[in-house]
Amino acid sequence: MSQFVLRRLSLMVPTLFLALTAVFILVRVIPGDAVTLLLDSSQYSKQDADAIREQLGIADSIPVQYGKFMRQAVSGDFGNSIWSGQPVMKTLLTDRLPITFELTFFATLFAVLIGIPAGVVAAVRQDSIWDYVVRTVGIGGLAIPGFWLGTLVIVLPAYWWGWTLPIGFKTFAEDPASNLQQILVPALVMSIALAAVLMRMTRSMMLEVLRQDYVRTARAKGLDGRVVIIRHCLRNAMLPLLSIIGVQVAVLLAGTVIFETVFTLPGVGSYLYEGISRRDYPVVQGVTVMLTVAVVLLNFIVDISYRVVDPRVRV
Amino acid sequence: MQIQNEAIAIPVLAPHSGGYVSRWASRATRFARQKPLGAVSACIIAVIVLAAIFAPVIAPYGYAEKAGAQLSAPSRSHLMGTDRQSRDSFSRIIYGARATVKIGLGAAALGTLTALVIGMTSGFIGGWYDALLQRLIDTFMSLPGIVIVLSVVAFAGGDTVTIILVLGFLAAPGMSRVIRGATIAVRDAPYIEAARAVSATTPRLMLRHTLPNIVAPTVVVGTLAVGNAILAEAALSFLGFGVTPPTPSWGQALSVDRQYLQIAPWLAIFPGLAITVTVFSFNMLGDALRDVLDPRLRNT
Repeated sequence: MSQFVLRRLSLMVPTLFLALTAVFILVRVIPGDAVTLLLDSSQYSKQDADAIREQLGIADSIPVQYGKFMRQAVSGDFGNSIWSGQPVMKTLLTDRLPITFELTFFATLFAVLIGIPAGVVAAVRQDSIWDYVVRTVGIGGLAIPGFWLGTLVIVLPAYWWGWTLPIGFKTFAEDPASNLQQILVPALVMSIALAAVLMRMTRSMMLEVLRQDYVRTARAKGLDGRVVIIRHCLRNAMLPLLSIIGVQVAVLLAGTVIFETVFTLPGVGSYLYEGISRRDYPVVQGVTVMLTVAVVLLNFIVDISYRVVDPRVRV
Repeated sequence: MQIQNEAIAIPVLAPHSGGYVSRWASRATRFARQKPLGAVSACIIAVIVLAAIFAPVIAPYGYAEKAGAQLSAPSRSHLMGTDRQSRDSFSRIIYGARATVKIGLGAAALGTLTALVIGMTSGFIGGWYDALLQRLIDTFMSLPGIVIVLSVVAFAGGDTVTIILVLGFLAAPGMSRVIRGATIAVRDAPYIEAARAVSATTPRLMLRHTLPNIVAPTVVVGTLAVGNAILAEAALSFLGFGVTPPTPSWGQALSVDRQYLQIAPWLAIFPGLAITVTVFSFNMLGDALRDVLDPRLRNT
C-alpha cells in the first residue's frame, strides 16, 4: 500500500508540473496584456506601464517569465494584490478558503444525501413513476444553469414574500444562525447539478449490481430486502461513485466562482472574480494555481481512497 | 436454339427519384418513432437555430430599440415584459439566441474536430505516442475549467472567437477519450487488417476505414458538448466576460439588471428558461442519438 502511495505521489509531480505549465501557457501566451487592460480605465504614462510590467514580472521574455512563475508556484508566494496591497496567499488561506471549504463541504453533503437515495429508489423500482422522475431530474438538473437557479432563489422569495437572505457575511463563530443561512442556501442550489449526476450514476450502477448472482443468492437465503440492497448492492455500486464524487467536487470548487458571486460570499471564487474584474494579476494567478493544485490533490486522494475501499484494485 | 432476350422479372429495389431525401426522411421518421423525446428536442433546436438566423424578421422590436414603458410586466404587446431601458425582453431573447448558437455550435465543432484528431491518432497509433498523449490529457482534464476560461478571457479580452477557442479546446480532451476508445474497438477489425494487407497507408486506414466507423460516438459526444458550451457561455456572460452590451445574450440578461430583478422577476425567469430549454434539448437529443446510434455507450 505505502509503495502504491509513493508511486502515485511520484506520478503527481509531473502532473502538477504539466498542469501549471498549461495554466502558464493559457494565461500568458494568449495575446492581450494585463497592463494595457489595466491602463484602459486610468491615466498612466508609458513609463508607468513599463514599471507595472516590471513589478508584475511580465516585462521579461516568456522563458524567464516561466521560470519566475514556477518559482512562485512552488513557494506559494504570488506577491501582493495590486488592489489591496495584501499578500495573495495570506488572504486566500486565512480569509477566503474557510468559506469556500464550508460551502463546498455542504454542497457535496447535500448532493450525496439527495442523489444516492434517489438513484437507489429509481433502480429498485425500475420503470415506476419514481424512476421516470429521477431520470428526468437527472437530465434536467444538468441543464439548469446554477447562476439562474441561485438568482431565482434570491429574487422570487423577495418578490412574493419580501424575504431576503441576511446581508453581510458573518463567520460561524460570529453569528451561527446567519452563517448557516448564508451558506446552506447556496450550498443546496450548488448541489443540484452534482445530485443529478449522482442520481444517474447510482441508478445505472445499481441496475447493474442488482442483476448479479450474489444478490440473487443473498435474496435466496432469505435476507431482508433492505439488507440486500444496502449491504450487498450499494456497497458495490458505491465504488465507481467514489471516483465520480472526487471529480465532481473539483467541478464544484471551480463553480464557486459563480455561486459566491451570485450569493455575494467572500470566498476563493469571489476573490478570483474580483481579481479578474480589477485586472489584479497576482490574485488571478494565485487563485488559479491554488485551485489547480487543489484539484490535482483531490484526484490523488480519490485514487488512494479507491484502493483502500476496493480490495480488488490492490491485486 | 435461339436465345431470347426476354426481360426476366427480377424485383429490383431501385431508389425512386430523390433517393437521398427519402432515405433521410425514413430515417428521421424511424428515429421519431423510437425516441419521441429526442425528436421533440431536435425540433426545439431547429426552432432556436432558425430564430437566431431570422431574428430581425421574427423579433417584434430591435434589440436596442426603446419599445415601451420601463420594467413593464409581460403583456400582449410585450410577451416577456420590458427591461430597465424599456427594451422588449422577447426580442432581446430572440436576438440573444445568436450568441448562444454561434458559441455553442462553434465551440462544440472545434472541440469535436480537435478530439477526433487527438482520439483517433492516439487510439490508432498506440504505443508511446498514446501513452504520452493520454498523460497530457489527464492533466488537461484535471484543470478547473471555468477558472481557466475566466483567467484567459480576463487577460485576452472576451470576443466571440476567443471564447469559442478556449471553450472548444477545453472540451476536447474529455471527448477525445470516447473517440479513442471507439478507435481502439475498430482498430483490429478484419476489414482494417484486409485494407492493410493490400498495403493501404496509415492515413488512408484512418480516414477511409476507421473514421466512418466511429462517426456514431463522435456525433453523440459532439451533441452533448453543445449543451456544455452553451452553459459555459451563459455563465461567462453572466459574470460579465462574454458578449458585450448592447448585443444581447441570455446569460448577460440576468446580470445587467440585477438590482431590478426583485421588482421585475420576469427579467430573470425568461432568459434562464431559454438557456435551460436549449441545453435540455441538446442533452436529450444527445441521449437519444446515443441509444439509437451506439447502444454500447448507454449509461456512460
